[in-house]
Amino acid sequence: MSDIAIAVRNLRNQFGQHVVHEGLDLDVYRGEVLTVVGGSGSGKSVLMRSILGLTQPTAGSIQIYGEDVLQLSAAERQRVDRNTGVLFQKGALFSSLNVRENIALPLREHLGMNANDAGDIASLKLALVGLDAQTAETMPQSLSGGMIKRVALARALALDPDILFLDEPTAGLDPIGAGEFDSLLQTLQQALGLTVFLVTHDLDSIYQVSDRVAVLSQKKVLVVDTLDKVAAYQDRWVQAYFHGPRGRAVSNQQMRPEHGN
Amino acid sequence: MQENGYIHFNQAEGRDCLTLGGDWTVAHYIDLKKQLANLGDVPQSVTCNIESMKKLDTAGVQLLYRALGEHKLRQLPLTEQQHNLIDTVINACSNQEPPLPPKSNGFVKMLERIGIFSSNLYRNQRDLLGFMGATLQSAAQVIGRPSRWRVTAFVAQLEETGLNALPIVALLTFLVGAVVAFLGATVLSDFGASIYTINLVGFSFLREFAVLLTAIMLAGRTASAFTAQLGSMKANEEIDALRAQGLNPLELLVLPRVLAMLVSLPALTLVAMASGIGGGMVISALTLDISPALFLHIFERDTGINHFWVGMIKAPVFAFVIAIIGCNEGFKVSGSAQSVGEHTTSSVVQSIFMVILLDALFALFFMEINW
Repeated sequence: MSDIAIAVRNLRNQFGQHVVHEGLDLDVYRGEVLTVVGGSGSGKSVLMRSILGLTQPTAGSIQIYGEDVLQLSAAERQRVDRNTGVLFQKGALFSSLNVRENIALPLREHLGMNANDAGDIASLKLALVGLDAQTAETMPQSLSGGMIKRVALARALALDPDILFLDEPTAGLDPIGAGEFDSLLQTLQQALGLTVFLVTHDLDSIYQVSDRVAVLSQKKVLVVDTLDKVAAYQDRWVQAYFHGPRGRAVSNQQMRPEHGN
Repeated sequence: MQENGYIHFNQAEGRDCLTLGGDWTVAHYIDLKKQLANLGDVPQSVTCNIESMKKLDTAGVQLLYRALGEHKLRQLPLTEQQHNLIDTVINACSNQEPPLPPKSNGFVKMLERIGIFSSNLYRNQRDLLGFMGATLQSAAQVIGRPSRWRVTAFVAQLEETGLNALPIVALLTFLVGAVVAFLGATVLSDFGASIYTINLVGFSFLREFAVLLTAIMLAGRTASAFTAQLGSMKANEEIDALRAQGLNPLELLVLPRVLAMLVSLPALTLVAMASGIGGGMVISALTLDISPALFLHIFERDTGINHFWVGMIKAPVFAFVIAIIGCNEGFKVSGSAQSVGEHTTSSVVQSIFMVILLDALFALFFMEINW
């Protein structure tokens, strides 16, 4: 079996007259962190939603572990979905359930666990993302932004998926919280052997966690490669993104420790 | 692809041996937990054979950790990545505080809930009075300055709360008028006094039914709308945005709604009186052979104008209470969609309760002054 987790081929997405993707190809390898960047409106979220089956593409094929997910029946699709965890941008925690119930819900629904077992696993997942037992009983409304992201990550990990989709996980977090989230993600990714599809604008995150970077531009994947090679790619947008004032600041920071050696 | 996880205990060559195999994943959690429970206590000297183990995830590690303990778990011949996994889970488990013990028994919990409910009740009423005061205060600030009257907002609210509610209020009171006339006709004919059906319908609608039914209709229709509108604005931080721009949300949002209610509820009450008496008149004509002309003549002769005023005086009071409760609940919404729902329910229940309570107090008062 190949080590390609997700293969997107010739994807086309169109809303009315507006074409978002045309002839888009992308591979995500097993066990890597692939970061997807692109300007606002370049279709990062649409790409993620297409892979997740939340948006039906106009044309093209999407394979997850070699299965063409667009051709699957609803029941088969559900089986594939159980292997993917999603962290939505605003967390999307169920506001009528407390934190523990939020994480326990997929366990109870999919695996038929009773409340005790599901609560047990939920507590472990909370501990994995660094939250204490007291948080388990609180309602999502009373959580801070950083805690919401952590709980959402715990919920995404509830079924121990192989593939994790993250939509701007550090957006709206302070730099310290964002940094902690990045290292948490890195630890879990390495420990659990996750394949991560990360959509982000946060240059710090890109430098810290990503194995490869894909740039979405001109309706397709402009370039996908390791960070150094992408940053050196000759394109006006890519250059402005990685070598603008913000990009420079981050890359300098990342270089400094190496100079020290 | 998938293989059920299993665990066996056997003794070979005088040594205890545990054989673990298959997928130790969350999908088989329930089954594995049962197997572990059947296994009972494992002797410390046991050796583990995991050659046929396929997959391991956090749930599987959690089970093994509980069954075998940390020491044994770390000794298992696993891949580096699986050791990473085990380290991470063990770290998380050891940092994990024991789950909080259930605080107290059911009776104490019940008392606690009663206490919380009572203190909330008190606090809510105090907040409501505070909100009423704040609204009146901003009304007093605006009243002398016509340039700050929100005429457009007021007219829009008037259309929504008054005009749009007119058909349903008229229909409802017409039907209740007919029902009251039916009741009167049935009961009073036993005494040969069916002519007094006219008085029954007239008195009841002028004094009570018209204003009460209208107020209850508007409490259900408008108070909920006010709460939902203001609540979703609050959830969307629009109210904070107004405050931050130095604008007074009470003046912009609450005053037009309260004023619109103060105008539309009395107006609708008037319609409700006419419509209810109309309903009684139709039934009288159909079942008691009392012609509309006779009905109106007796109605005019027997019913004093004071009954009309008893009904009308209550209308603005109810209007004020309903509008204030609706807006106040809207401002109390916090964040979530569920909160909007809760407060909408609460605003309808509270305003109907207050309307009926006030109506009872009014009835006592008017009885005492012989109106």
